[in-house]
Amino acid sequence: MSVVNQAQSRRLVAVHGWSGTVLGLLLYVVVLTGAIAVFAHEIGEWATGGHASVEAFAQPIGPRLEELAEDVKPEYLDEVVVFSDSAGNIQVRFHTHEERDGGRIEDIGVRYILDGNNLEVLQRDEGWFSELPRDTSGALEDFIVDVHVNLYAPFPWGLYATGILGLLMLSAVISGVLLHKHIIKDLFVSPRKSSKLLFRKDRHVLAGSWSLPFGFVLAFTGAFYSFAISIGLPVVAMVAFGGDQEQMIETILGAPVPENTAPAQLASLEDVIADTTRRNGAPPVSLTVSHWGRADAVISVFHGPTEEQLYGQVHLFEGTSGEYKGPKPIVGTEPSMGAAVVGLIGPLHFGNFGGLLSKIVWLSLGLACCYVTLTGLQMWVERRAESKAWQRLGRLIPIVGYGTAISLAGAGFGYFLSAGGDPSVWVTRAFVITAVLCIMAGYAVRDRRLMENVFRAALGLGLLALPVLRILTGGPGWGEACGAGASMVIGVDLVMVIAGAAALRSVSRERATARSVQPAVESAV
Amino acid sequence: MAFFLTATAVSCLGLALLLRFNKKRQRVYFKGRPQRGSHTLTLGGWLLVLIPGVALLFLGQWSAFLSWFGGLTVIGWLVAVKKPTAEQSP
Repeated sequence: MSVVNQAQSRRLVAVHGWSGTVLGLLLYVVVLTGAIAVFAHEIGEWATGGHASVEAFAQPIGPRLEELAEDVKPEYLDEVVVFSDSAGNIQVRFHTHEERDGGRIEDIGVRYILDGNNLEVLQRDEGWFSELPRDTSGALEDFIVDVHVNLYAPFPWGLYATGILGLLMLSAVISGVLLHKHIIKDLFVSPRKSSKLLFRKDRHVLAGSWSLPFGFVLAFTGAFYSFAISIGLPVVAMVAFGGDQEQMIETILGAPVPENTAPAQLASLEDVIADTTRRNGAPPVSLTVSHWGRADAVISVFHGPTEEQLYGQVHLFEGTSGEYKGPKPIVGTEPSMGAAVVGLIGPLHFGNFGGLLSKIVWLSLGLACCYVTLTGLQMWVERRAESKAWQRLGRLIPIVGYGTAISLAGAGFGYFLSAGGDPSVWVTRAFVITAVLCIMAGYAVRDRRLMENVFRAALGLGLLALPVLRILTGGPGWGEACGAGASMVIGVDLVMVIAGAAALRSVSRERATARSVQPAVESAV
Repeated sequence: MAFFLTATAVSCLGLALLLRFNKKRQRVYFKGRPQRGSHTLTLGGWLLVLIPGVALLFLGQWSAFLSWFGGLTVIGWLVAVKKPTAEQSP
């Protein structure tokens, strides 16, 4: 039974419809890129030609870091971050934190990119980290993530925008729940074909009902991420700590260890890595050394989620002795319910807790949310068929719906065709050029069915062409990838081929249906 | 993985029961045939759908539980959204 009366129901329909309509197309872009961003790292690995599934810290990294530390300014030894990137290279960032114009604290130092196999230096850059040449190996994945997180807008405006979109999605989910008269029965309703609008409504209700719990989870966690950084932390600092950011950081992250600038030898990183791998049951994903070469050095080791542990873990080690100091909660210094809740937000949003399996599930959930957004918009517009303004929005639905996916494939083309140039620039350019072409095609082809077929065919051909282009531009073929243990390359290629073939097949089926309907209509006339 | 697969398989069985004996769907997919099903079957279907999730929680398999829950909603949607054929549609 519905918990609202008829008048409230009408108002809720308005809230539900308008919350989805006002920024529905932008919400769709965020949700679609979010669904794909679940596999951003795998896509980055695929784009760079992949690498054998070796552990990031399998090499004896300690002696190599000591050599590199002698080649940087002493102040950059304040903090050293080490992690493995999408191309299988090791990135080492010696840096400190300094205030820039405008009072913002930023990282400044030296970034090394080391070959993951032999630890040879591939690239060395020095300066403000926000101004260093972009890490080209991650250009494609960074772009996808940036569109999802910031809509490619500058900080903090992009975060505000995606946060508001998250809240709109939450509002649509909650009003959708309240509107349902028979939410459980609606899970099994069969789409009625008696009218086009009813058919669309039933399919929208079905997708919406099944994806309700995760729509709520994804919207809430997404809005949390957007607002926690852009508004939440500054507001907490202002209200609870009288604007004292340092005190706030101490409370959230724990007080720093007492300063001791006396020179001291760092403990063996290999021993620390072996110890933390044994404790966590899996190797770490990154490692940070604070106060390198000093008596107050601390080593923090980060582990990703595992099947037993839903969220990542941080283990602390004493820097000079390598003695284990215990796990570090995400919030505060002692384990707490708050830390557990904040810790859960990450895996619930990214779906990265169960390897590829949970990522596939999260991708599917994201695509289901895309479907709900677009079908909801479509219904809203069809009910207002007499209004020209709404019809103009209606025309935009397939343009944005297919156009975003085609433009993301276009970004892939930009990455592979950027030979000699900066891939991050070409990825953006290609995305924009493809988006403009889609808009032009959308307005040039007046017939809606033909327009959708053109878009599907473009998407299908684009996806089929990407693996070919990857190989033609120097990427490994399947035999080579198989021999190198780069299974992700083959996996992503296969997904592209299957998705591309499915898009082309849908065009051919659509045309066959249209051909079979046409004679029937003619004979009826 | 094994926990996830087992739980999802059992839940899909329950889902199949619920879909098969849902009265509204029978009116569309089994038009003209006598309606079948009972409260016991519906209850059994729901139990089959939900018990694996409870079991995963009881066993502390959080990762498998989340994957199962997400997977079930996607599978449920994909199965339920199936279009009736021209002959089946009312």
